[in-house]
Amino acid sequence: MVTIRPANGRPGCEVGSRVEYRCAVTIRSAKRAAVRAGALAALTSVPLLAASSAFADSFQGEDAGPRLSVLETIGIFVGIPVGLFVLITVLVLLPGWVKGDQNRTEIGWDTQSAAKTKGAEPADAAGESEKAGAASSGTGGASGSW
Amino acid sequence: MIESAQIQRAIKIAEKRTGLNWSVFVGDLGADPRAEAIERHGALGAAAAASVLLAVDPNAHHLEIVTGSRARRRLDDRSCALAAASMAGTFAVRDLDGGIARGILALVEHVRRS
Repeated sequence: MVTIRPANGRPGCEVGSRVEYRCAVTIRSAKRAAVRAGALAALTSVPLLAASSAFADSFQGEDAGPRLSVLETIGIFVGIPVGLFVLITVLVLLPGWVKGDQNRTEIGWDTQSAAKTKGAEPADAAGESEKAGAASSGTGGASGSW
Repeated sequence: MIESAQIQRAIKIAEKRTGLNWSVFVGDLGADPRAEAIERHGALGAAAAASVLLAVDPNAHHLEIVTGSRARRRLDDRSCALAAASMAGTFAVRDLDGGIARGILALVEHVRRS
């Protein structure tokens, strides 16, 4: 915490020493903060530094192995993720490919697959056209009067 | 031979857009108009399967739409019934050519892509 006061604000401050302050700075709180930060840094970094020095010398029980070639690196870090992506995509899309577009089939746009699944032609209209269907082989249509 | 330019134009558009054969018959359909229409449709020979026949009997105030087995797969009977109703409505106001032409175009709208 640094608090800035006017130069004549408080007796006993470092006014008129070698450093010329336009305004008096109370250094005590700033010093305290610096000490606190230093202690914190020391406490956190010491174990890390100790650990890293321990690992640097003796890598016990582990072998880093030979270096990876460029191809191996690409294979592992690009090939495997892309392969997984493709695999999952195929697994997701596969049922749709096998069954076909159900919506189109139900509407009757895909007549071939409709015939495969339902074993029949698209639904006929009721009423007028019914008498037409049975009469001759496969003809359809409608009648009207006025 | 049909002389109405309106009907000829409609048939030309229909054949270009659908690839099906379109025929129009105007005349006496007898006592059993449906059977007569199917017979006339069958008389188209090899092309009958992919043909659509509109048969109109102005004297009996009756019309028939016949679709061949292949044409029927692309033009369902419900659409035919709709077009038939539309045509009958136009015939009721004594517009024979207009009714046929409009009926053809109404059917074309419902033909699915093969």
